[in-house]
Amino acid sequence: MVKIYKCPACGSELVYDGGTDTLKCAHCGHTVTVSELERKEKAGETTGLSGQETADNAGNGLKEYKCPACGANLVTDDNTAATFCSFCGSPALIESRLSGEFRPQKVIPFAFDKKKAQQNFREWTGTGFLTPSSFKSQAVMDKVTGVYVPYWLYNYDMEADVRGEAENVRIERVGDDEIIHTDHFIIDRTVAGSYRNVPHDASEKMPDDCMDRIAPFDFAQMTDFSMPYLSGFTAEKYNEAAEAYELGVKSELTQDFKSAADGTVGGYAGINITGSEVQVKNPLIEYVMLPVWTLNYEYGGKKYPLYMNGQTGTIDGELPRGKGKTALLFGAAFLIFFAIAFLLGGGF
Amino acid sequence: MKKSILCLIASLVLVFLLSGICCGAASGGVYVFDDGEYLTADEEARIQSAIESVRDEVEADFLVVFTGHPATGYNRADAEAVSEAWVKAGNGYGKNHETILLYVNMDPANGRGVYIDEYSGDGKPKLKDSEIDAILDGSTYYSLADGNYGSAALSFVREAADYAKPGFFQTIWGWLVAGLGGGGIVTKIGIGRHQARPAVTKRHYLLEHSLETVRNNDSFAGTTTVVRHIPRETPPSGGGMQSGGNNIHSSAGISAGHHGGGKTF
Repeated sequence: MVKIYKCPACGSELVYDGGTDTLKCAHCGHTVTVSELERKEKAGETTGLSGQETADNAGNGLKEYKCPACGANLVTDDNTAATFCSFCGSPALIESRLSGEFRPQKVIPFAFDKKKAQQNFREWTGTGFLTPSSFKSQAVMDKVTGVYVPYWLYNYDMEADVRGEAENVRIERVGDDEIIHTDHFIIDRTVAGSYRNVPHDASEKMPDDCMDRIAPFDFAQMTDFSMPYLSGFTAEKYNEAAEAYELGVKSELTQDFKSAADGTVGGYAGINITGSEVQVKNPLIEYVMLPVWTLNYEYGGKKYPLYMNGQTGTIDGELPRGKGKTALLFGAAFLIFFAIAFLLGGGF
Repeated sequence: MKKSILCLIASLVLVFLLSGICCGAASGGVYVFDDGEYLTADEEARIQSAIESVRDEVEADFLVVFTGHPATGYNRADAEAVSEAWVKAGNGYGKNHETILLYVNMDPANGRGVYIDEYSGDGKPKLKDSEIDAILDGSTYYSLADGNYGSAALSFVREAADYAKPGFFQTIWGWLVAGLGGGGIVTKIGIGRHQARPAVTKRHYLLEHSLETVRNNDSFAGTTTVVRHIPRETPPSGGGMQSGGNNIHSSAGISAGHHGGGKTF
């Protein structure tokens, strides 16, 4: 079913208001809490417009739906779960895409709205004085898009058997003799620990390295998933199963835990760890939605995708560099260094 | 009395030099003057040739004067008088009449001495105090003390030319390199301001208080003992001060375009 949440006061669309746990009407300002909408839906009350999915195959892996607000065709790919009608702009949620095994267990809602995200991007580009002026224009900032990215969260308990040797040294002097006592120890211990909420994005579209760099998220703010959180944003279901990444994640965590366990051996002058065997226990994998603001900028024939953590505001990406500004910077620096060398060298 | 001696020196030197200059200048520049045959003809020719080969690169006239005139000294005033006479006669390199003089007085009655004087019309000498001192303390001095006057003069020309020639960063090529290098570094820093952030390490996700040792069977395995015999050190006897030789020289500051230093040998 395609769903659009409507304002009970004026009938306009409701969108999630970042950081407030409410949906807000852009037209009249009326707000409705997420829990209120959930209660109404459970009670079978009307909370907006719903439309049956026509799900006509539009070819090339795309599907067509009817917008419940204006009747226009919504064309999406197989993974899109929340989008906007390109005709009337209504935020449309495709509930069937997030049902069953594809329904997320948890979500971290956006902590701030689009205006704040635009401000963050502008401030971030302020530190790059080579950035083209056009980058900060309103036309570019309007392209900032909020996306709920599907993630797998991996949880494991670990135990490491640490074996090795250690020693302590005592030195005493008797007359002309130096007596060195070396006390030898055998290290044999078991260290336990737990990794929680190790994230890995579950979308092919999102670059894994960029998603790693906008981490960490504060998972204490994570809440049970509910469709209203997605209203006003785009969202996708996962298209890579948890098992696809599990081996890699386990390997990285095992290496890290070995190092952590070895680090618990202390209080000796010399330590030689001969082996650490790690057991991975109690795996728990959760499917969640995490907020990311994206901005795609094209300059000089090259694309510059930027990503912002929708909870903490951490930004990752490469800023474009204006050729004119770069040439100006080089020219000014050249003249300054030339002048300094000229003056120090005594001139002509 | 002192003033009249100085006037005598100046006039003697002037006559001596001008006579050399009248002959020398017309013949393309004579830079070696020896009134006591301290140098052989061959040595004079070699010194002359050495000076001619470096003067354009260094942009300075090198002047070598050996004199045995009595009542002259090796001091600054005498050397400066010689340089002044040289410059007044229209010599010296370029518009600043750059001249570097090795003035050696061989008269034993007044103490044999050597003085290096540099004249620069713009007050910007090519030789620093420390460089003049280095020449006076080096092979120039030792050759003079050993009586190898030709070698001393050649050493002087070679060392002074090495010190005086412009360094790379005193030429336009050096300034261009400095500009390009500095400009490149600043631009690189500007471009590199947006380095990718490091990813959060997996250690971040290890629960803070979950790491614990649940079993500890660490055990003591024994003690090894090593004995080393280290005899105590005896303090050295006597002091260790060495006395150095005398090395009297002085470097004058810049005086009306002159700059130099000298010593006895």
